Amino acid sequence: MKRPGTYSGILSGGISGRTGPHLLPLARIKKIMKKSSDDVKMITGEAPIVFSKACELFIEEITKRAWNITLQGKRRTLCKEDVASAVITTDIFDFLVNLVSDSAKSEES
Amino acid sequence: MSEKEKDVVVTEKVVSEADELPKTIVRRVVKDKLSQLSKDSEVNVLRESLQGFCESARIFIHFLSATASDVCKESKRQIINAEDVFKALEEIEFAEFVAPLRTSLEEFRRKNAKRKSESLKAKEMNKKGKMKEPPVTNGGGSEEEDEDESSEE
Repeated sequence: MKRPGTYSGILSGGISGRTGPHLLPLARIKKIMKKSSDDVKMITGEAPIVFSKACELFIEEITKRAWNITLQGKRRTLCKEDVASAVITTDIFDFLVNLVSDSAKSEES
Repeated sequence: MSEKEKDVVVTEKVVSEADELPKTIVRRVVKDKLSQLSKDSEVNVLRESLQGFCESARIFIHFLSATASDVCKESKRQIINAEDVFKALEEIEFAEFVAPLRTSLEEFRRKNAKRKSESLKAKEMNKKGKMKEPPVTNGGGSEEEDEDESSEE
């Protein structure tokens, strides 16, 4: 459903102020959604907005867990191994296990 | 030899930047969260770890989209709506996200409704303004009105 006025208003509000409902660009999110599956063809105007906020919360969750691992190692710099460990040690991040193992393989080679 | 070639193919399988989430925004989300978590001292984030965050978020969107699509199909509809996304989040064990997302969506709906009513009002005012303006061919009366309007500005 195309409502250009709605989107243009949201984007300017979201980027200019942190109090906006979302930060991530809706068009990019829609693009990624459509690539996820052939079945994803039509989505309402509100769905990308929910996705944008969900992504934010997801990134914050990984950040929190990776940061805990950084602290356990008594470091102040968060590195990608901390992100990988956070993924491996958290059950709900199981869908990311392949990503972590691929990056580990590429390092070994 | 063939295995090495396969490895090379895997490592060269890079997603183009246009298909990824913008790094600057992902970096902002990570930094803001870290500054919340450790208020005393500054935290550094290596650039390469940002790639991990971007990729993870992209795969999260894929996973959530596919699940929401399945939920939508089960309800025998073709258009994915916000409720499908909420149900999908519960299915993939991210139920804790649902409450803050609903709040966020309600806020967006209220703001959107406000903007719509404001723009409608503005349009109506414009229309009324145009209707009040008399035709240009008339004499002194219209000129006086114009002067008044300009002085108000």
